[in-house]
Amino acid sequence: MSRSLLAFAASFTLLVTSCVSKDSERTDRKYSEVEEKQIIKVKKEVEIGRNMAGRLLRYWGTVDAPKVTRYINQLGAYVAQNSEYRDRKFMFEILDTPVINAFAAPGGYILITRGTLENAANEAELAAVIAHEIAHIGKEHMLSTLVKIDQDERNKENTKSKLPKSVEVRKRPDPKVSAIGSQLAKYISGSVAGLNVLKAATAGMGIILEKGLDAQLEFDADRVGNEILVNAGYYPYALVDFLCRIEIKRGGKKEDCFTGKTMDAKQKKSILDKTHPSVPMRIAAAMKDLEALGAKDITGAQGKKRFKKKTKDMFMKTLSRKD
Amino acid sequence: MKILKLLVFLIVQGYPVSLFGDIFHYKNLLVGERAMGLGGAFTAVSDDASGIFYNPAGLAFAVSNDVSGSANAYYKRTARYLKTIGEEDFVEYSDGAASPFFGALQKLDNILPGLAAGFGIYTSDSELKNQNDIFKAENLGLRRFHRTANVRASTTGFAGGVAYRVLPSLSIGLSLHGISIDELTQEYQHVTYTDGRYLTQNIRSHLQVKALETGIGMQWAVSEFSLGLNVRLRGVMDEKFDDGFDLTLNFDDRFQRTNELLPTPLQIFRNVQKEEPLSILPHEVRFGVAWFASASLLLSADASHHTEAKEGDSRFDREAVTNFATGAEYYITPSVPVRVGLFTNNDARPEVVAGKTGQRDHIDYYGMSLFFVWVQPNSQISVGTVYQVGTGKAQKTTGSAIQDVEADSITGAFSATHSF
Repeated sequence: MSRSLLAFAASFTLLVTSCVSKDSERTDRKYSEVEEKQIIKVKKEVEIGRNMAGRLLRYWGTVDAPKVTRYINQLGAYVAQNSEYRDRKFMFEILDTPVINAFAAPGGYILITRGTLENAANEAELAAVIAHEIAHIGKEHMLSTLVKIDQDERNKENTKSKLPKSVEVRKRPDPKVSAIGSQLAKYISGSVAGLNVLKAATAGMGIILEKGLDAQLEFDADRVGNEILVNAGYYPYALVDFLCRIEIKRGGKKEDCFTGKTMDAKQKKSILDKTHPSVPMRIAAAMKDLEALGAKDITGAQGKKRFKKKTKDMFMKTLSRKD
Repeated sequence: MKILKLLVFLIVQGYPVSLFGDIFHYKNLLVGERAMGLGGAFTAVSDDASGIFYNPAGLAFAVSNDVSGSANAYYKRTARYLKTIGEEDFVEYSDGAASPFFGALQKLDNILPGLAAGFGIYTSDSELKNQNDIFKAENLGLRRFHRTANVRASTTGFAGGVAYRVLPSLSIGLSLHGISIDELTQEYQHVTYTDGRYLTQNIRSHLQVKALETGIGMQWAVSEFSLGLNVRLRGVMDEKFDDGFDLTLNFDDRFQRTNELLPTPLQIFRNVQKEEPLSILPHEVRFGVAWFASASLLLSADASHHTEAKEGDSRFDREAVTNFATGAEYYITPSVPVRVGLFTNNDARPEVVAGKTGQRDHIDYYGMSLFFVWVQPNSQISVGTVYQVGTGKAQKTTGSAIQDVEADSITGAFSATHSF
């Protein structure tokens, strides 16, 4: 047998065994078709989210304060336990930037900025921010937006190049997606089950850094976040307080927080401004939600001392730094 | 003398005839992932990157953009010359690996609706032969015949093309190919006879051809049917042929033809470089019809005709040849289509006829392809085989004796295509 035959056999065997072994790792038991689809969807979500989180981490880096990071993860896990998404896994990290913001990437990746921690007055406010992000992930706001963008693009493409019947007859059946197939597709192009991870992650970055999610999704995340906050036993108005502090920090007055006004495009300077509805609008919506929750009658914990103590490490390390 | 008939193989012809890696068959390797499965019956389909090879007009009917590659193809070929050495058969064999095709197709509807472009790199023939044979037939006066033959041959092409749907059902396409033919053969023969005669010969030839090809194609869709026509015009741009041998023998079979032992061995050397061994290449016309019976079933058929090419050295003369192919693609499940094809691969060398000497082999093949494909969204891989079986005639020995030839060739290939 010649060397070329051996090379052929070896490369073919490698291709097949690599696919089969990867699949067999996961197919110890039989999954139903619904479960298979769910597994593929979750994989897709995690891959996109990991890619997005990786980009943010590479851009800003992380705060080198392990105790604070552990605290954020413990707090996040506690908040998540008090939500309806307790079966999901969330991962938290602190981005080393003074920008006040937090990012939720599909798959459970939540990145809080150092600026957010520096501007939160207590644990309840940090929990409110985390609850807002958990709501985004739990409600799959980003993922559904990316799927919609993908679908819109496909529709646009289809409309733009309307295929004549002579081409339509050449279309072949839609294949059934299999786990090995998606693995292979990933091998070949970085795609998972047809959706290109890199393309989706790039679109996702555009959403969280520039365009923002649909305003209604942000109000929805605020509403669900406040519910989680109340369930977790925190001070219900923590998000309102935090948002109002941001408004004041950017030159507004306390009264401005409650006007319910929108913001001019020219006034939108920070990432938060560009990607979220105005603070007064969010506060106005949140106040309605809180009223419905009966927040007036709930005291809730603020955790000011614990927050200061737990985040001291980070402040010590970043105190002397010029951003 | 009977023994002279054993003065074997090609010596009188002065050059080695490579059975494969030859430029006399046009379907030694099928090009393209889907086309390979359909036995090459792709002229009326040609709507993926390999359409650049079969019919560029088909690019305009592509459903999606794609990148396609034959990851690897392994082939093994055998030709058995029956009763060539006495009652013994003589067998030639070769094997090797090649990547018959890599290419990409890009729809350009955003520039002009109905416009598409593609490129491809293909290997339409390839051979690596390393053969070592020793024969002994003392009862026939042959003490030892030792022959080693090495062949490294390939025909490769690089092509780019565009296609445009001038009407929703009619497209035209144009392709430009750069073709390189490179065949290097080296053969050593050492023959000793029981009566003390011997012969040693080393033969070497190297054919190098650079050519350009223009393909002009059209495809016409009529309901679920498609008709395709492609005309491929070829011109030699540069060519050369190194041909040489060193012969030493201690008997006279050249001058007086007495075969008597010589007091001093005879040495004959030849080294010739020919500038126009081929001079021209055959042109080709392909016609095909396809029926897209349903999303799950495709049937196609092709006829391809190569014109004769006889303006160079006579040993490279080619007769006009017509080949046929038919193929079917059926989706067993939405993810698993199977492709089968039947085709002919006829020899462009003339028929071997009685009463002549020094004739070249003539072997006509029938081929069959069978490929299983695994389709996933945006990607597919196919695994399968192409088997060819041929029969013909040859004159492997001196004189006018004609041998029957049985030949076969098997190619295993796996390919991948990604659509985007």
